[in-house]
Amino acid sequence: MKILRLILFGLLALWGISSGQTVSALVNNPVLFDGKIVVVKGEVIGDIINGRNGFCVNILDSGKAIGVWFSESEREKIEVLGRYKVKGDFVQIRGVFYKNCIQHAGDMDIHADFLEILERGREKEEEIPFEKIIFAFSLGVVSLAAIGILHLLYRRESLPRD
Amino acid sequence: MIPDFSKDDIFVVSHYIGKILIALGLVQLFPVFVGFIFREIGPIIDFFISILACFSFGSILLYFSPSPKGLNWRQGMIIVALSWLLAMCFSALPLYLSGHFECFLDACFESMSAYATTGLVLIQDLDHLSHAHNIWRHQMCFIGGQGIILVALVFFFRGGDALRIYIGEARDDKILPNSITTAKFIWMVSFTYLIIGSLLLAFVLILHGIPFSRALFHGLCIFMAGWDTAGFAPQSLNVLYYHSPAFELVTIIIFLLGATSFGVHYSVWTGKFRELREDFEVKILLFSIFFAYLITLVGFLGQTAVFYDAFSFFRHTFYQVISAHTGVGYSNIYVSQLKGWSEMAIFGVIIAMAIGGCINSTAGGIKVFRIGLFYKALKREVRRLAYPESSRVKEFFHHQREIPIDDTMVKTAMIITVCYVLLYISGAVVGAFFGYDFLSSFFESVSAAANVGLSIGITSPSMPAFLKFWYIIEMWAGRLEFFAIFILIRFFVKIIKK
Repeated sequence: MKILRLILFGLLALWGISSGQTVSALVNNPVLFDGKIVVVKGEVIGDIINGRNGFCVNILDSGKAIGVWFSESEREKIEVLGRYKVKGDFVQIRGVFYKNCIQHAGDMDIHADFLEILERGREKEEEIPFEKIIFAFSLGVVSLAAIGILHLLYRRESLPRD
Repeated sequence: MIPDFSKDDIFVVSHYIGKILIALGLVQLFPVFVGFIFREIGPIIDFFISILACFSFGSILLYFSPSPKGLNWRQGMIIVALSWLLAMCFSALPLYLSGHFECFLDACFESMSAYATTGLVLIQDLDHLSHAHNIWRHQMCFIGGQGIILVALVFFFRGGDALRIYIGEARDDKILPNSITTAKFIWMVSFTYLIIGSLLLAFVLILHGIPFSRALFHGLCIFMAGWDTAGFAPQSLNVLYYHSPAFELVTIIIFLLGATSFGVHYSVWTGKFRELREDFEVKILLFSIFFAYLITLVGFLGQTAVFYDAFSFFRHTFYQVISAHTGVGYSNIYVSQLKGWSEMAIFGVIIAMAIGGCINSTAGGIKVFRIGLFYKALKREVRRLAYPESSRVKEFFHHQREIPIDDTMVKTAMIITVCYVLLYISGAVVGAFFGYDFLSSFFESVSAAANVGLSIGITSPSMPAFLKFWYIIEMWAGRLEFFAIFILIRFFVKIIKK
């Protein structure tokens, strides 16, 4: 049984290095990947967070994100961070996955030793549907009419009666 | 004879709800301002639509229901319960228009979760949400924590009317003689802490290399949701996003401040620091956090390799328990890690969530005040049985002053506690009906009803629509502490019967 598990882990590690894992697979099966070399692809999001011996960025892959630590030498490679209207750099990283990283107070993270930019991030044009503008305009007219009527009503109420 | 519901009730309720909707439109000007700063045109249009909808609907209600002479208790309760539902719908509008929600029900879930300061989320792709929409999610937490009505109280209500409506929002502790001055005091405390807390959080983030504007934005969001014990965060990773124990430490201080009653805040603000040591609710809160953490610790006995060192273990387990107990719901671990905890450890977190923070604070749950009251009542009964029949036994507790326990107080506390327990169970049964295991269902249900926001993985856009609906009811009922809702139901039943 032990030999079978070892073979399975070995195969998983090989498969992981060659094709990569999803972030979802890592965070949902932390025990399975703990201390192993993993390859992850994803979008760099948010902010660069400085640490003692390097920096951390969060990488998003199909709705799940994970913190990845890099050495200072990799900092210049990351240029675009994903946010509203901004698609961040799409990267591939390789590193060791930790379910409870002792170096980072028990966080689940990856310590990367390789970073490749697969697609440079870019700013996206804001798309505003035309129907939304029409709807806003119509509502504006209704609202002005309602407020106007209310104003007239209050004025009539406040006028002295004969 | 008790007067029945009449047409007048409908007019009075409509009038005040109209005012509250206009106030709701006005507070949405802040996200518009944020949208201008970050040059987000699409979100500005979303809020423009929502503001206009609030103004139009509010004006129509005011048009058809002219100024009433006064307001009675029953009308006050109906206004509170109904205005929370309408606020949920109108506030969900810009969220839905953002395109980050699968359906309008999900957006309503999010807005009720924010207002009730729960923190369960159904938003998708949060990491690419606009600053304007994100600040609105957190601003709703800030408004809901103090109370939607509390916003309107300051602007639109008269003294006597104000009290009737103030009580309906689960606040029975008048700090100052007048409800409006109490409301103003609560806002003053909240805004002062908002400035200090946001700057402190931003400072920690700046030390981590995050640029000032981003750090301030995150600090503001985290403070609003932390102080109001809501647990929303601007990024999908929640507090885990920051990878910073120092940041988590600051949030813990904010949780504890948020879960402390405004009465104690008032005492401290007026120089009575002794109250922090003497207030029986503060003592029980601290003891209860310790007790719940002890249960969680017992749950880890025999579990090896969950965490590799003592600091990591303490950092993550204590954070979950204190976050659960204060009703915040921030988490520094993944759901999959929480699922890996033993049933006993999870039970410890459930106990913490179920009890909650102090009465008249921004926290939810049964509240430590009621737990303390039961303890005192039990002590009184034991003493009464032990002493001679002719002796009169009195028990006091210290809550700004020495207050004797009376049976009405205990009875009211007991009714509310029973309602909470039934609500917790109801959600667990509904969850189990849809095929989730009972412990997970119970966890999620307590989290929703006690307005905590920790999730064990059930809450997601793909969960059954009825479960979403049920959790909305739980969040609403849990936040308002039942009475306003019971009166609203009675009101609708009477209308239908007529």
